[in-house]
Amino acid sequence: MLELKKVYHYYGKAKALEEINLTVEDNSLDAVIGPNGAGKTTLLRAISGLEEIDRGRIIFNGERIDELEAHEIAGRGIAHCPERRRLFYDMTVMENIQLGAFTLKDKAKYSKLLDFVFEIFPRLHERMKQRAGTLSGGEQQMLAIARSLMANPKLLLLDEPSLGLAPKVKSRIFEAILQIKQEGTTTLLVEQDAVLAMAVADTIYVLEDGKIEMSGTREELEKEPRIKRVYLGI
Amino acid sequence: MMKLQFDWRSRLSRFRVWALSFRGGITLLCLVGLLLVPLTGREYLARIVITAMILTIFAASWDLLAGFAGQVSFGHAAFFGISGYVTAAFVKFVGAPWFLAIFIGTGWAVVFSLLIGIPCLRLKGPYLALGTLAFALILYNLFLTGTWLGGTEGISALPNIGSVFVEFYIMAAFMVASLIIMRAIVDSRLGTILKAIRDDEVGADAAGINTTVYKLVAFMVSGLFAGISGALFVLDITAVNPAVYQPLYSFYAIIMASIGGIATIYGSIVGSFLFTLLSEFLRPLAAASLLIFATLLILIIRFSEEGVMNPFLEHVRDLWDKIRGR
Ligand SMILES: Nc1ncnc2c1ncn2[C@@H]1O[C@H](COP(=O)(O)OP(=O)(O)OP(=O)(O)O)[C@@H](O)[C@H]1O
Ligand SMILES: [Mg+2]
Repeated sequence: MLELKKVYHYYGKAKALEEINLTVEDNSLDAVIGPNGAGKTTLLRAISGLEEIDRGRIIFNGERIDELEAHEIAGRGIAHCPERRRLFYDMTVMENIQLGAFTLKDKAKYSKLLDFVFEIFPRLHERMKQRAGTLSGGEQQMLAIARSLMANPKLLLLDEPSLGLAPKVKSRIFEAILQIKQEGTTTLLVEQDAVLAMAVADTIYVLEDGKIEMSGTREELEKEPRIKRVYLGI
Repeated sequence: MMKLQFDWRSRLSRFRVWALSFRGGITLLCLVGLLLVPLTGREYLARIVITAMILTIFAASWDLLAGFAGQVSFGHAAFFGISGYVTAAFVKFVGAPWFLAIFIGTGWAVVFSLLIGIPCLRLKGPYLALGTLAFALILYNLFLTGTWLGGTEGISALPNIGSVFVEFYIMAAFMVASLIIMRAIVDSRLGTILKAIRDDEVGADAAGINTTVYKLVAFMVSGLFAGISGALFVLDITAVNPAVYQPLYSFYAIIMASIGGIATIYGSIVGSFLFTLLSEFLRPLAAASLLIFATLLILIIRFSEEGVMNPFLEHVRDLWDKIRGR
């Protein structure tokens, strides 16, 4: 579904992404893990067109998308759920959800999706008319994910959905991510909490200092002593 | 596709609910009060109210662009002025009837909103404000130094569009229609999109919104209504000169919209009427009146960020509820 070939990105002269090769298969849930400043957010922003890459190509369903504008990429079916739950804070929960469905033309699909997001996040249903900026951190994260789902994306990009949340809320969010996977939405997840990410992901990429140092399934990575030490703390 | 069919029954029952609601009641009361003004037979009062109604459209057009789309313009006088000039020129030199001239003048304002909007697209916040300000200043100087369209003198002695009282109802119709349309726009899907761009432009882009296109749409709609008000203004005072392009007029729009309450559209009514009435009182003070307005604006921003309309209505409502013993 998604393929990155030798992607480079620089912020000025500072290299943020170096020779990134990555493939996301249809209906899979893949994860990128790595320390702070490794380039995880940059990677997702590059895919969704919020950063222009300096070299390489990004191919989505057979089409090169690395030269398209962000809104065009969104129109192709990639939804980006940004880091730190960026929302339209002055607007209501419902307005945020409606904006998520901006690229969706099918009315019947809209109400189905709406039912689905309210099923996985019932709290949002109770708070439909509340201003997004006044939601709690966990609720904001739920809304951010719900908003991305409303686009009925072929590919969902999730940037640190568990950031700053209590363990209970974290597992609630991850349950939802698994539900989304079961519904058949392909997902690329960025996560610092390696234990959580490895528990749900099919393929895991380890990004360090802008480079993919390792990749594989959970079983494969768990055999690596360095992964055990640095990411799993065993 | 929007259905053009009208369901009169449900409209009517919705209107009844609205009219009996607090806000609906107040609105109708004000409207009736407004329409009674000419019946007092006082020409002076009618003149002041006409000015206030025209400026209401102007302030609301600024509010639509700045309050809803987040594109703060300091050069709104450009749209106001260009439309005023074109309207005056068509009436004076071509002999066009006033209602036709308004269309042409407004059309030019829309064209100019694109001319200003396109280069300013990449500017944000203070830079956008300065960019739009510069445009208005360029127009001001072009019209001041050029000899076309009357040079420094401008165009004057336009025919009246009718007696004061006829004019009053024409202007009232324009104001009510403009406000209803603008409010409908900001409450529509387009309004939601504009608010999204205001809140988080990158986020809006990532949600699939072509922010470039919608920002231009906001500029055009705002330019259109600013153009209407500019045309009406010139028809009302039957003259125009380069002074309409002064930053002063742009600031008037900002002051009026902010006094009433930003991102409300209807707040502009309150702001413009207060502004116009106060200006009349302060007229003997000449230049000092601007100082008073600036102070007033600072006080309002300091003590009531949302302007005076909404907090005032809340108070009246509380009082009303108390009187009815709720
Ligand atoms: N706009 C920018 N301008 C310059 N440098 C940037 C910019 N954004 C990110 N960087 C740098 O690029 C590197 C990668 O940043 P990125 O945000 O992608 O990291 P990350 O893996 O998402 O980190 P975290 O886990 O803390 O979110 C960092 O060194 C960061 O300082
Ligand atoms: Mg990050």
